[in-house]
Amino acid sequence: MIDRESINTKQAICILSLLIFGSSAIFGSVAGSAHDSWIALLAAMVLAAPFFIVFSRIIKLFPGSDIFDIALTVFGKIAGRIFILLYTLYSTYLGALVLRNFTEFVQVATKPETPQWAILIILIAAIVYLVFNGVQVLGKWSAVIMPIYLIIVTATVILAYQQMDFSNLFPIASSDTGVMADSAIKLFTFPFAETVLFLTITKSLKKSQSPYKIYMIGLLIGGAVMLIVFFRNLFVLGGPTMESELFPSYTTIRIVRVGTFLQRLESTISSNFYLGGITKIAVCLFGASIGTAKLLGIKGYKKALFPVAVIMAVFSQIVYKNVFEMLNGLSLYRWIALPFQTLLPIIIWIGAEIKTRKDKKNMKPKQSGNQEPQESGAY
Amino acid sequence: MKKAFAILIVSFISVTMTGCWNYRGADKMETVKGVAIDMGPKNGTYLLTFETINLSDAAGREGKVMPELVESVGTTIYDAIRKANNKLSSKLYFSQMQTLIINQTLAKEQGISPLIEWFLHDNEARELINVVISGEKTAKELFNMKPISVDFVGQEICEIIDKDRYVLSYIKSNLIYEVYNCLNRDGIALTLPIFMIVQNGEKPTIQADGSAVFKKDKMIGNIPAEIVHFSLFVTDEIDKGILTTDLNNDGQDDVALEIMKTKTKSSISFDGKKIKIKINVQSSVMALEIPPGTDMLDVTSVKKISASAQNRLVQKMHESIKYVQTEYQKDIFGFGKMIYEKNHKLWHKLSKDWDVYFKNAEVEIKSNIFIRSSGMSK
Repeated sequence: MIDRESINTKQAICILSLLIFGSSAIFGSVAGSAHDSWIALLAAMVLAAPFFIVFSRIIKLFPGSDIFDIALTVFGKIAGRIFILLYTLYSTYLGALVLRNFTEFVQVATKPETPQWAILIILIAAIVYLVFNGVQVLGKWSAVIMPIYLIIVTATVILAYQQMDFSNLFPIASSDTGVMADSAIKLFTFPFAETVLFLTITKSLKKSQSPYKIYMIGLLIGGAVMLIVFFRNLFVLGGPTMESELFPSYTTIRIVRVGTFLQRLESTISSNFYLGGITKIAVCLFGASIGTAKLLGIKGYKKALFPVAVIMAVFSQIVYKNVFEMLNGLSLYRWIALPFQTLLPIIIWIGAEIKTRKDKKNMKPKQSGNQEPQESGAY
Repeated sequence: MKKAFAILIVSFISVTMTGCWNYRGADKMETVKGVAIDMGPKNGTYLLTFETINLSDAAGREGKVMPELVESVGTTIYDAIRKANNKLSSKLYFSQMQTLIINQTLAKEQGISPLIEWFLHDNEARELINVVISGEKTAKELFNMKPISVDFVGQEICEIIDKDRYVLSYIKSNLIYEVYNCLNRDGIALTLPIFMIVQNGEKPTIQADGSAVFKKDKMIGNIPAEIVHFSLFVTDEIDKGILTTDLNNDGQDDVALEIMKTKTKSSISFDGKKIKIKINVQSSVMALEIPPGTDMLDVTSVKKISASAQNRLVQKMHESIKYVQTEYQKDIFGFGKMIYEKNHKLWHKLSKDWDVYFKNAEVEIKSNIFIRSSGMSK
């Protein structure tokens, strides 16, 4: 039987990396520490590494299943369903937030007269189509988008060289340690630890694929791109302008010019932003619809897809009143997201370890190795 | 059947969903090239003058575009911009705006921060706007001049500034986002170029002439063009230029050297009481005007010329630093920024009295001029 729903390791790494920098690159990793944000970014990456190992371990213990199945297997029907509900809500929330980032960006930066819902409808329609066609299509999409994204970022860095002032980096580490720690936590929750949602599509990973490889390489690539984008913005804009701008990457590209004819390249950054963000929202939508399907006992996630997408779209419009709430919301968001990104995965991991050890003991005379969990819904 | 449906959907999408929510044709946009801000007739109002592109002659014939001046009064900058629409059939469009000219009285009394606010926030107005100060009584009279090489004063000012660094290096300019950085950064005082009206033969035209010095965001005075030129040597912002010197000490400059490459390295130290700055300028030049009869193949002659030029450069740089130290005490060279970048804790100690430290700073300048060639002839 042809397995329509598998993704290879390269595609998985691309999905994970796009999940990391997809919607954060436009904000340029500025989280309150101005020119020292790169230190906070590195700290966030170091902080994220052990959690990525936890995420990988969860998949390693139960290859071929996603976090919903693992939760049901490990904690049983009732507690497992609570986990599924929590992660479904988190996926919907995050998807709505990212959607709102997009429509705000369009309205503020490029087309102020276009109502946000017009962009929203077209965007969500495209993403629903992407998710409808399955994880393999998402994998292929990411594998195509990654090189395009990286080439555009590299091109903007090379073109920006003339406008760069490297003294903007100094003084190094002059910000308050408290402020930098605060920024590090902000950057940890948005975007690194959001990769927990990748666990909702790991059903398409085979036993032979190493989740550690996927997560670690994804962390390195995602972090490297965020650092490069940050330094490009810092060297071109300078600390004060970078802190005050809503979308520093967009402002950087408005300034970049080579000669008289190569200027006003904003559309490259905008289209890059969209390509990355579509992937991120698609993963959130996957998580939300698979979770909903499992909760309601529906076979297959496609039936739950459209209602969940509509809920996500509507929620994105009501979650914040204005741009300032959206920016301040990041400070609040991290406390809401932290349990989903840290506490719950650790609980699942510990539960999974105990369960597999128990199963191993029980299964010892017959077979060794991990047991395949019950399939509770085919694609 | 499915194929037909797919084609229908694709054509529907490509026709309706690509493009903008609404659009304005170019004839319905009043494209602004430059804006001049003056005081309005009543206290607390602004008079804005927009130099716009008049396209009424453009269609049909040769396509000659003429500048059109629109004036408007408002209680804030944006108020004045919107009120201009009472006079126009099209809405003002700022994405092509290149220059912002500010009245010097306004810059002295009110400061420029409230004036540049709107241009920083609006998404149409670009970050690459050149901000200049008008050296005349009002800012708008600069727009009445006929530019020499292009059609629009806003464009002419921008091009004078852009090409200056490759030709003369007499202008220290700041784009609007650099102005914002300067105002919100520690250790450097803002300067903006001044443009005046001068006679070019019979017709008057605009010319850059020196810089305005700012305390925070209020203008406190102006610096002559030559002082600005040598201050650019101090801050390593020279690309090309000319060095002249008097070789035989008869009071008349007789040597002109064209700068091919120059690099300034500065280091700063604090001995507890005074700031000490060491500046080292390395330049590579071409000798294009020398006293007739000088033998350029003779090593001693060449050494004499470079020694004379080095002395002249060092003397002029000292003069420019001294001038700013005594006249304005404002650190336009960014020495404070150098301390901040190297040692921010020391900067926090010194920043309150930085003007005093800057005034009493000791500067040591060394120059090395290497004459690469003397052009086409020996």
